[in-house]
Amino acid sequence: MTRSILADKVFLRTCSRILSNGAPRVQGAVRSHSTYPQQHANDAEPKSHTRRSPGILERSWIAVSSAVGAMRDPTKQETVAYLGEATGPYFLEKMRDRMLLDPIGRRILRERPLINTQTLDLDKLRALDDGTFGREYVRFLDLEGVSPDTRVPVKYIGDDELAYVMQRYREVHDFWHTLTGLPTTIEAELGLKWLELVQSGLPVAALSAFVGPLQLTSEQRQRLFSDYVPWAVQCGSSCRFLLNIYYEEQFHKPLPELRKELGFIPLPENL
Amino acid sequence: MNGIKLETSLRARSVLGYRRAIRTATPPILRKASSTTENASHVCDVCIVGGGIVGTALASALSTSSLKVALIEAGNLFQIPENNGNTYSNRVSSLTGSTIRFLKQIDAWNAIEANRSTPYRTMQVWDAIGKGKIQFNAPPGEEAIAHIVENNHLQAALVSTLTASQQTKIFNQSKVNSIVSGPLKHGGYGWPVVRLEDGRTIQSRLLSFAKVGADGANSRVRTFAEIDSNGWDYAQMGLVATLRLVPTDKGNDTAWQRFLPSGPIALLPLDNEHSSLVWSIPPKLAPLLRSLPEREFAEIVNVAFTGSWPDLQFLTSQIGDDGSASANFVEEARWSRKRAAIGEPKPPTIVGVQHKSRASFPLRLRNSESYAKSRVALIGDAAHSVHPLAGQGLNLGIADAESLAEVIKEGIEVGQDLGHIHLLENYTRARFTSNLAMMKSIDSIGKLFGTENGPVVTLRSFGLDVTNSMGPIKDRIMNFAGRSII
Repeated sequence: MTRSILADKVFLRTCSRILSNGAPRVQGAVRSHSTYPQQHANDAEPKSHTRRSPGILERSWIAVSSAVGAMRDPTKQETVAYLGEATGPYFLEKMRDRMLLDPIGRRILRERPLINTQTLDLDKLRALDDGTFGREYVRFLDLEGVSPDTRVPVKYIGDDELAYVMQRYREVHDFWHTLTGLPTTIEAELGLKWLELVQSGLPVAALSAFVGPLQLTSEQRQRLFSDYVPWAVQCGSSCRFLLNIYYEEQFHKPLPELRKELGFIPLPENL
Repeated sequence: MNGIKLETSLRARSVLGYRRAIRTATPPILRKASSTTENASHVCDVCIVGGGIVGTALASALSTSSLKVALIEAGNLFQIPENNGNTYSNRVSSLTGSTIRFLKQIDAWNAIEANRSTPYRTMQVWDAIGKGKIQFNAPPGEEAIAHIVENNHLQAALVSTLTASQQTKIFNQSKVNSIVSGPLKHGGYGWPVVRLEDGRTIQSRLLSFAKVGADGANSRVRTFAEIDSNGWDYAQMGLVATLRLVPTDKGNDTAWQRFLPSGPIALLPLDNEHSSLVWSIPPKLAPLLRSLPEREFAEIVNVAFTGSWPDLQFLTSQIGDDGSASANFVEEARWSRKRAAIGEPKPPTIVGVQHKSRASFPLRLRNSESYAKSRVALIGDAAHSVHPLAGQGLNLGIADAESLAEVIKEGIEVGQDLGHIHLLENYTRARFTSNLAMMKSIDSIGKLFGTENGPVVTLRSFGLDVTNSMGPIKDRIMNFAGRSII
């Protein structure tokens, strides 16, 4: 009995990781550094010589094989990541253009802040008051036992700026958990995927949002589509564009105030 | 007795129309018969209402014939444009080969000072969304694709060809009050009578409208002529300015035009350090751009030429209602330049704007349903109005003037009544279809590049690139645009 529950938990956690577009999280020590993002490339930024832009044939092959691989072996995080990169450039451009229209988005593109254990001082965040964005964020990380280190590095996008947009999109996923208050249950992860789909329009998000529910039980699916998805769609359409928020500067703000500022509709009470 | 005879035969011609004049030996020079209706009325063969470039060009072309011509202009035709080498008027035109050929014929081309006409050998056209671009080059034998000339200098050159002519009477600084058809009885000819505001009247065989008056004269013209015009207003204003550039060692001999989704922006060379700007913008943006400080305006124009479309959209969103800039335009422009794609065309960098040279005017498409009626002919802006994106508006008008002058001269050679519709139909036939074709092309190009729709962008970029690599097709395009003969 216990074993099956444990096995379920592991399965759920694995699925949640896959669906959140990530690499296996590193259960490692947390190194302190300055809380504020650094100006230029550190080791975590994908070097441009390891990135390249595949042509249309290679891109189609990567997309198809990644999609098949992701369905066959969902524990392999790279496949979903590469699927996103192969199908993403047009939508990344659209997201980048949306960032260019906003003063904060432009600042993010210019400064290119990264989110990992070297740029975030987690101890300092832990010391913040309860109820602030930073404190709740670290609480979420500690609860799940994860760290914000880089997920799968961007490989198949040659353009510097678009590669950064993809990386930022992956890195702010945990912030969204905190802002929305969604746990990491499978339905919640899929709900978050729907929110991402509404905001970004990425095909890989669409794939997860539509194919993901197929592996749920009918009861979970029912909860997903009656509770999480309607809320996610409404929240995603009304909140500020998620990449135009300078999260690193909002840590001290109380969470309800920040949610109101950004237009996040709170979760319905029964969830 | 002679006078009565003359009157009768003329009247017979105008009433019955098809009967040719019996006296074909002498051209029908008018004498001021004392039995005309108005005592102080000026009687002439052709009366041109509107002394703009096109009207003056028609007068100039007719001045070499024996016809009596009257030219009415509300503004001051004798204003001498300044030529101090450093300041330029903000209204310029690109004159094509056929226009210049005509201007040479009427001795107006040489009257333009050498330093006030700028030839350009290359025209670079490209798309802001999508990667398509096309470059036109002057053929090896020719000096240029076209010449840029300030409108006021061209006007002054044309006026200078008229002052020598005895047959041409210029009604300077005279506004038109009303236009009526003269009476047919009591010595009148049934010709149009133009009454000026100072009370003078002019009767003529043929009344030619060449300008769109700003003071409501346009509606009087249309009411008299009963010729409707159709078309639509573009949701755009044309913003013009004289810009100061960073001089390059290659000189300034290229015309640049970039198609933005909101409208094309063009840079026309004036001299090594100056160029003229013509930018089609949404109307709401016009007062904001006109009141931006000089430095910010120069940077936003730079971004409009070399920056990405979202960059430009961001900058225009940062202009307050009073023209103040709420972002650091210089920094944003610098960052935008850094991110510009390699291989994109690079026009010269703008560093300043000539003081008080920014102005805007509404853009529209208009075509009259007919170019001529009995005793009335429409040329130039009175007949049609096009988008400035192809630099064709003035060239079409001058071609109209050339055509009408030719038709009139042919007519008098065989003694036809100038104002008769059968003669004027030759003019309509010569110009209507070619003007319509040009207008349709210009409007279609404007619409094609005005959308951000993905498949359309891909197709049009592909089309541009393909056309760019096909020399013969580009030659044909240049022929259509610049060397079209009447």
